[in-house]
Amino acid sequence: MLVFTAKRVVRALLVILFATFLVVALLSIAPGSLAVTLLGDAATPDAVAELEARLGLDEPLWEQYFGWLGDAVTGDFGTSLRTRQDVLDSVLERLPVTLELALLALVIALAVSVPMALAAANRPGSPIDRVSTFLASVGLALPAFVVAPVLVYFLSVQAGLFPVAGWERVGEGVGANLHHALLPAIAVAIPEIAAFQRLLRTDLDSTLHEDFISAARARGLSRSYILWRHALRPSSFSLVTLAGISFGRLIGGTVIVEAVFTLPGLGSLIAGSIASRDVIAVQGAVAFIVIAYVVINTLVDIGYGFLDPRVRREAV
Amino acid sequence: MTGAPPLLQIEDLHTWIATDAGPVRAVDGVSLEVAAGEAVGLVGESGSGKSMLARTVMGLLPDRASTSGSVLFAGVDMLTVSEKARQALLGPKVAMVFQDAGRALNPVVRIGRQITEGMVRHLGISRSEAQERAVGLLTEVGVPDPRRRLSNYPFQLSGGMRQRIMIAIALACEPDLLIADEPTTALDVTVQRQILDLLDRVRTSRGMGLVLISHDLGLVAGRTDRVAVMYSGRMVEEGPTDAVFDTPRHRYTEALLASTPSLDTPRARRMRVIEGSLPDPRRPPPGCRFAPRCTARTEACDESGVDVLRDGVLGHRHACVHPTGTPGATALTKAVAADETRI
Repeated sequence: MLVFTAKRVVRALLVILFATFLVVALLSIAPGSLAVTLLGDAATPDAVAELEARLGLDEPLWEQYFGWLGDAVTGDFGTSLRTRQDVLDSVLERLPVTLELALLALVIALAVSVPMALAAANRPGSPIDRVSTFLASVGLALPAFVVAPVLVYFLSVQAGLFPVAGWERVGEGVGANLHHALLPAIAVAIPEIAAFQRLLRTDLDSTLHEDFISAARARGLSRSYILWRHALRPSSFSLVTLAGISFGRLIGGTVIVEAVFTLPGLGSLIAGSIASRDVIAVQGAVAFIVIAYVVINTLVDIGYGFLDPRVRREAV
Repeated sequence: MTGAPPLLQIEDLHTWIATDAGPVRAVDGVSLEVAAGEAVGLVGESGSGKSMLARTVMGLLPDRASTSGSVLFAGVDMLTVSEKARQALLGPKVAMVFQDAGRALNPVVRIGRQITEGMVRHLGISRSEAQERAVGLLTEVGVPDPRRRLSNYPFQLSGGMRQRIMIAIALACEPDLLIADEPTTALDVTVQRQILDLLDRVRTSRGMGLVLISHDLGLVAGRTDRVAVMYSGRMVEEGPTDAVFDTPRHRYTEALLASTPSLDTPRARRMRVIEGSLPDPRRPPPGCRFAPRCTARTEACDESGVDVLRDGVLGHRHACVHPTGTPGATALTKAVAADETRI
C-alpha cells in the first residue's frame, strides 16, 4: 500500500509540473503584447519594455516558467495587476467558498443518487426503476444556468425559504452559512445526481448478475443487505472516478452558479480577472485549481486501494 | 423412503425461462425426492437443466423465469412461499455450494464477514460469537490457520481453500440439506478428491441431506445413495446408484457411461462419444428427447408422452422406450456394438 501510494504521489507531482507549465505557456502565446494591453495604445516603447522586463516577459519561456515556479513554491504567486492584492491571499480568501460549494454539492449528489440507483437496480424495469431513471435523464438535460434561476425563483422569491443571493462565512455560524450555501449547492448537484445515478445503476446491474450475489442470496440475506453490503462496493469504481473528476471540475467550474448567487468564490475571481486581463491573477488561480484537481484525483486513485483490495497488489 | 415424509419433494417441476425466441424449457416436468440424511446424485451434461433445478429450489431464478409444479421443502412450497419466509429457510434449512468459489465469493468482502453474516442473521448470535464459530467451521473443513484466514480476501487464497470456505459458509447455519452444484469442476484433480471426501465427511457427521450435482458420473458413483440422470430438462433415469451404474436402463445413461473414460478402457480404443448435441431447449422433440441421437430409436420414441418414468425393481425407474437389458433389445445392442467397432 505504501509503494502504491508513493507511486501515485510521484505521478501527481509530475502532472502538476506539466500542467502549470502549460498555464504559463498558454498565457505567453496569447496574441498581442500583454504590456501594451495593460498600458494602453498610447504607451511609449520605453514604458512597454520596462513593464515587460518587470513581468519577465522578455525572457525565454522556460526561464519565465522556472521563475514563476521558483516563486510559487515559496508561496509567492505574484501580485494582481488589477487589485494590487497578493494573488495567493485572494485565492485563499475565495477558496473556502468554492470548496464548500463543491463539497456540499458532491455530498448532496451522492446522498441522493446512491439510494436512487440502488432502488432502481433492485428491481429492473419496475416503476421505481423507470421513475428514477427518467428523473435522472431530466436532470442530465438541465444545465446549471437553467436550474439555478428556477430554484431561486421558486424556493427563494416565491417560498422565501432561502436567501436570493449572497454568502455567509462559516465563522458567522454554521446555520447561516448552510442557509446561504444550500441552494447554490443543490443547483450544482442536480446534473451530478443525474450522471451518478445513471452510472451506478448500470454498474449495479452487471454486479447483480455475478455469482457472488446469487451466493449471498442463497445465504438467506435480505435484498437491501445484499445491495448495500455486497453489491454497492464492487459497483462503485466508476462512480468514485466520476465523483473525483466532478469534484475537481466543480472547483473551477461553478462560475455560473457563483454568478447567479453572487458568491465570492474562485470561479468569479477567475471570470473577473480574465475580463480585465489580469494575467498574474489568472495564472495563480488556475495553477491552484490544477493542483487541487490533481490532488483530488490522486486521492481517488489511492481510494481504489481501499475499495478493492486486489488493486493494492498490482504494480501500476 | 419409508414412512417419514421426504426432506425435499419436487413434483412435476417446470422451470421455463423467457427469451425472445420463445421459452427455454430448462426444467420440464421433473419429480425428485430427497430423504433426510440421504445423498442423491444429479447427473447430466451441461445444459441438461440440473443447475436450473438447483436454482429453482433455492429461489435464485432470473426475473424472466416462470415455474409450475411444486418444490416442497420441509412442507413449505419454495415456489409460492413469500420472499421473507424463503430467506428464513436459506441457510438454516437448505444451503448451496457453488461451482466456482472464485466467483461465488465476493472479491471485496473479507472471508470472515462472508462466513458470519448468515449466522448473525439466522441464528441471532453476536458478531464475535459468530467469529468464534467461523474459526471452528474453518477448522472442520480443513483450512489451516483459520483465525488469520478470516481477515483475508478471497483472492489471497488458493482455489481449493476457497471451495473449502464456500463449504464452511454453506455449513454455517447447520442446514438439513446441502445442494452442491458441480463443487469440484473448477478445481485440480488432486484437490477434487479432497473436497468430495470433505463433503462426505460433513454429511455423515451431521446427518445432512446432500444433492450432488455433476456432469461426471464417476464422481457421483461412490458417494451417493441414489442417482438421477437428466437430459434436456427431463429426468430419464433414477434409482439406487449401484443399480443405475451397473445396469443402466436408459439408452442415454448407457451412452453417457460408455463415453466416460476409465482406467479399464483399453488404450488403443478411441473414446466413445455421443454423436450430435442437445436438442434446442425451446423446441424439444415431441417424444423422447434423446431420440435424435439414439442408436435404438424407433417410431415409437417420437410419440409425445413416451418419456415418462416407469417403475422398476427397487425403485430403479427409467423413461426409455427400448431400455437396455430387455430381451427384445438384445439385437439392437449387438447392432450398436457392431457399429462401435466400426468406429
